[in-house]
Amino acid sequence: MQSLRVPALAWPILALLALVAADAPARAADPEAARIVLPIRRAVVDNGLAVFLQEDHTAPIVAVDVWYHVGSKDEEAGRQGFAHLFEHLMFQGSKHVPEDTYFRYLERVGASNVNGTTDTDRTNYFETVPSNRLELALWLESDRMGFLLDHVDEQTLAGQRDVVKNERRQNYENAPYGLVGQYVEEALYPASHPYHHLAIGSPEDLDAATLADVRRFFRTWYVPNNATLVIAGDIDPEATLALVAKYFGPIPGDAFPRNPRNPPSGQAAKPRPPASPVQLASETRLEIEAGVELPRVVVSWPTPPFFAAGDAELDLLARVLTAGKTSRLYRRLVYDDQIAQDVSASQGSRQLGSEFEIVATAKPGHTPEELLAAIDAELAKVRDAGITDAELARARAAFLSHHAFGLERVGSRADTINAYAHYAGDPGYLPKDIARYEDATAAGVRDVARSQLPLDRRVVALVRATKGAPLAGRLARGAP
Amino acid sequence: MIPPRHLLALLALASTGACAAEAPLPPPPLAPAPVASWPSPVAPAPPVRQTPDAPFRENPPAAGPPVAWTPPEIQSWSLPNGVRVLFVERHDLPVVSVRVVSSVGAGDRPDARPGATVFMGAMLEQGDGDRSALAISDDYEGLGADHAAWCEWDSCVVRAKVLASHLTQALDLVADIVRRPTFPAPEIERQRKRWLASLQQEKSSPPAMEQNAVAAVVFGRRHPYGHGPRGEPVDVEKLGRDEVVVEWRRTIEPSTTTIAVAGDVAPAELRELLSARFGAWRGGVATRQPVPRAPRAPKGEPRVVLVDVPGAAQSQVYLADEGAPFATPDRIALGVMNGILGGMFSSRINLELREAHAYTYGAHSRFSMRHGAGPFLAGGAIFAQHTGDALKLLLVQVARIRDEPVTPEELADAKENARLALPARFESVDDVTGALEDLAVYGLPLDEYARRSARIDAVTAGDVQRVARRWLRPDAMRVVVTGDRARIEKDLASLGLGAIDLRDPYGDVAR
Repeated sequence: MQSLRVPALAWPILALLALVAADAPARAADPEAARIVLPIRRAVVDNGLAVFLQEDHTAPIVAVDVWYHVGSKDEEAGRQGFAHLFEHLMFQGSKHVPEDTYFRYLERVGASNVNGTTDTDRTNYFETVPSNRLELALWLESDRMGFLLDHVDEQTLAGQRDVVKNERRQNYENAPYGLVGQYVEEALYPASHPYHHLAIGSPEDLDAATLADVRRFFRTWYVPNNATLVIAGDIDPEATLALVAKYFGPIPGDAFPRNPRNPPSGQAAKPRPPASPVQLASETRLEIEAGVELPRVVVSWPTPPFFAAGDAELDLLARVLTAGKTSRLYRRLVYDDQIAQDVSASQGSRQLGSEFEIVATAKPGHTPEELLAAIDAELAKVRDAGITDAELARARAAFLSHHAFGLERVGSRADTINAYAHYAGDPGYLPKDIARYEDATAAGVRDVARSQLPLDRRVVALVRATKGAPLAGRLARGAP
Repeated sequence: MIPPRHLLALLALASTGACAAEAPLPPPPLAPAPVASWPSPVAPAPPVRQTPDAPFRENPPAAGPPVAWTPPEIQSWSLPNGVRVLFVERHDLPVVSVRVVSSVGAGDRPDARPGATVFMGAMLEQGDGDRSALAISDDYEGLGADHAAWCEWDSCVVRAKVLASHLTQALDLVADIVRRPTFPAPEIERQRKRWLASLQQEKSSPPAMEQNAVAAVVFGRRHPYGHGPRGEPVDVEKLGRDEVVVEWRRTIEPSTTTIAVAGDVAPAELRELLSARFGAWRGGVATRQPVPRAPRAPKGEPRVVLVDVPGAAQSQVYLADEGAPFATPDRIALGVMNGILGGMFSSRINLELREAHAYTYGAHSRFSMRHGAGPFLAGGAIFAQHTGDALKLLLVQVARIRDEPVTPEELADAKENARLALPARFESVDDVTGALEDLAVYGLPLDEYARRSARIDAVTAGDVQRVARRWLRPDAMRVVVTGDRARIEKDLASLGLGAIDLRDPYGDVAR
C-alpha cells in the first residue's frame, strides 16, 4: 500500500492528497464477520472536500454520493423547512445544466437510485450510473456545487415551493396520523432546540423563503469543505481522483470553522464532545384527535446520540421488544392479548441526540391507555429482570446480517461510508460499528432500559380515533 | 495483509504532483460542540466565492468506452418430482437469497373467494411441520434472516435471505413452510382479526381507498382483479380453514414450483441441500385458470367516479382502464411508450403536472402487467384546488401520445433508460432471485435478460404510436377521484365527462 500520486494537473489551486486506509475486520464470533469489510481510499481536495473511494468491480456501475453536512437543525428562525426546499432547488439546474434536465441527463444513461434527501442532520444527493458515465455524474454534481446561483431564480423557487407543499400534503397533512410526529417533536424539544421541528417544515415558513435566503444558505453551507463525496463501485481510483480534481478542485472552499467531521488530512477525527441530550423534567401527555379508524399510542424518550455509549444497546433493546413474534411487546400486545394491531420500537439515532420510540396501534375496541399499560408492564420486566442471552443473541444476529446486506448495493455502501464520516467522524467505522453489537451484553441492555427509558420523563401521545377530526391529527391537549 | 491504522498519519504528510509546494489546508479549528451552538446563530453574510468557469463545463462529458455487461449466468436443473432450480453463483459477499416460487397466484384463481389465496400466503409462516408460529419466528430470528412468505396476483413465494453460514438451517425452515404448513385454527382466527382491522384502516387511507375504487370500477366485483388483494371485510369474515387448505393445494405443488437461489454457495452443495429437502415432495394439484377480461362498461354508465373524503387537502386523481397482460408481444414497446408518457421522472406527465404546474409532488403512469391484463393508471396525489386542471392535462397527454409520434430524442432517452439500467437490476442476491422469479412466473426463457437489450433497441417511434393507440383507450378510461366532494365536485362536473358515480371507501356504490 502506498500513497497515491496524482499526475501533474492543469489546475493550480489543486493539491490533492490521498492515502489508503484499511480497516481491520470485526472481531466477531461469527467467522463470516471477517468477510464483512469495506476497504476505503481517502483523499482530500485542498478546498477541503473529503473524498472516499470504494473500489469494487462486481457490476459495471458506480455510485456517486454527496453529503452536505447541513440539515434542518441548521435552519434560521422563521425558515423551518428551508434546508429541504433548498435540496429541491439543487435538482432544478445550475449554470451549465438547464432547468428540468438534471434527471433527464441521468435517466438517458440508465442511472438508477437518483435522489436527494434532507433530515435534521444532513442533506444527501446520490445516483448510480453505468461506470462509463461516472464523469457525467461528477459534471452534474460539481456544477450544482459550484454554479447553482447562476441558475436559480424566482420562478424556480416558486415552483419548488409549491411542489414541497404538495409533498407535505401527501406525506403529512393528508396521511393517517401524519402530523403526530410533529407534535411529539415539539413536546420532546424546547422551541430553542434544532430538533423542535421536522425537516419538512411549515407552509408559512416555506412561503416566507426568499431568493436572498437561497443565496445565503448556499454560500454558508454548500461549500466543498462542508461536503463529503463517496464514489463506490467499478472505478479506477487514480483516474477517478483525477476527475474529482478536475471538476471539484476549482470550487473555492471557505475558512469558516466546521464540525470536525471531515478532517482535511484524513487523520482520525477528534473525539466527539460529550453528548448532552435533552433532559426532560417530567412526563408530557399529548391528547391527539385524528380522523383515523384505530387509536394509537406513541411513547418517546430522548436518548444518547448516534454512536454514543448506549446507542447500540438501545438498538438491541428495540429488537428485543418488537422484532419477531416472541419479542416482548409483540408477544404481549399483538399475539397473546390481541389488543394491538401492530407495535414497533426503534432507536432513531441522530447527531445531537436520539429518540427511542415505541408505537402501538390499537385493535378496534381498545384504547391507547390499555396499550400504554401493557407497554409499561413489559418495560418494567426488562428493567427488573433484564433480558436473556438468547434474546440478545437473536438481536445481535439481525445486526450482523444487516451490516452484510447493507454492503450489497453500491448506493447503499456509498451512503453508509458517508454516514460513518458524518456521525462517527470516520468513514471506515464499519468494523467498530459491528463491534458495538458484538460487545454489548444482556446487562448493558437492561441498564439502558433503566437509565434511558424512565417512566416519569418522556412524551406520551395518545391518539384517539375521532370522527370529523383531520386525518393527520390535531392537538387537543398537552401543547408544550 | 492490511496495513495497520497508524500508517494513516505518515501517509497524510505526502502531497502530490505539481502542487507539492502548496501545503494542504491545516485542520480546521475545533468547532464548538454542536449542542453548545444552538439555536444556530444567524451567520454573517458569507463572502461571495466564485467558481471560475472553464470550457470543459459547457457540455456534458462524453461517455467512456462502452461497458461490458452480461447478465448473471443461470444454472438450471430439475428435481425428479418436477421442481425446477435456477441458480446464480456469487461469492462477493457471504450472503444467499432463496425464493421458492409457485407460478400460480390469486389472480389465477377466479373461483376462489376474494382474498382467500392471499390469506393463505400470509398463513404459510404461521405453523409448519413441528414448528408453531412462534417457533418459526424464533428460528428465523436466530439466523438473523430476512424472510417472508406471500401470495400475490401471479405467484406465491417463500423467501429467505441469510448469511451463507446459515443456509442449511434456513433451507430447513423454507422447506417446511412450503411443504408442511399446518394452518392452525387459532392462528387463522388471529390473522382474521388482524386483517379485519387492517381493512378497516383502509377506510381512512386515501391511496388505499383509491386502489379499491379503481379495482371495483375497472374490473367489477366478480373479476379476480376487482378487489384489493385481501378482498373485503365480508370475505374475510366468511373465509373458512378448509378454503385456505384448498388454496394451498391449488397453488403450491412441485410441477408449478421453481426454487431460485443466488449467492455464496457451491453448486454441488446446493444440489444436495435441495434434493434432500424438496426431492421427495409430492403435493396438490395446482390449477391456473385463465384470467377473464374486464367487462366492457355499458353505454351511458358514468365515467367519473368519486370517493368522498371530507376535508382532504389533496385528491387522488387517476385515469384508469384495463391495461395489458404480461404475455403481450407489445410488452417491450409498451414499456418504452409508458416511460415517455409517465414512467420516468422526466416523463411528459410528471414534467407537466409537477414541474410546469406544481400541482403535485409527483405524477406517473403505469401498466400493471399480470397473467391477465391488470389496470392501467395515470395520475397522482393532486392539490385539491387543481383536481380538474390536473385531469385535463392527463387527458391531453394520453391523447397526444396516440396522435403524434414521439420525438427521436424522447424515444432514444426512454430506450437508453431501460436498456442501460439493466446491470443495476442484479446488484443484491435478492435482486437476482427476484429476476429469476420473473422468469418462473411469466414463463420466460433463461436468456431473457441477455436478449432484452436488443429488443429494446429495436423499438421504433412507429411502434410507440402503434402500442399507444392499441392500449390507451381514452374513450373507455374512467376518471377515479378520491377527494373532498364539497371542494371538487363542481370542478369534476365542468369537465364535460358526464354524471358522477359516488362510491364508498371500499369502492362499492355509495348508499
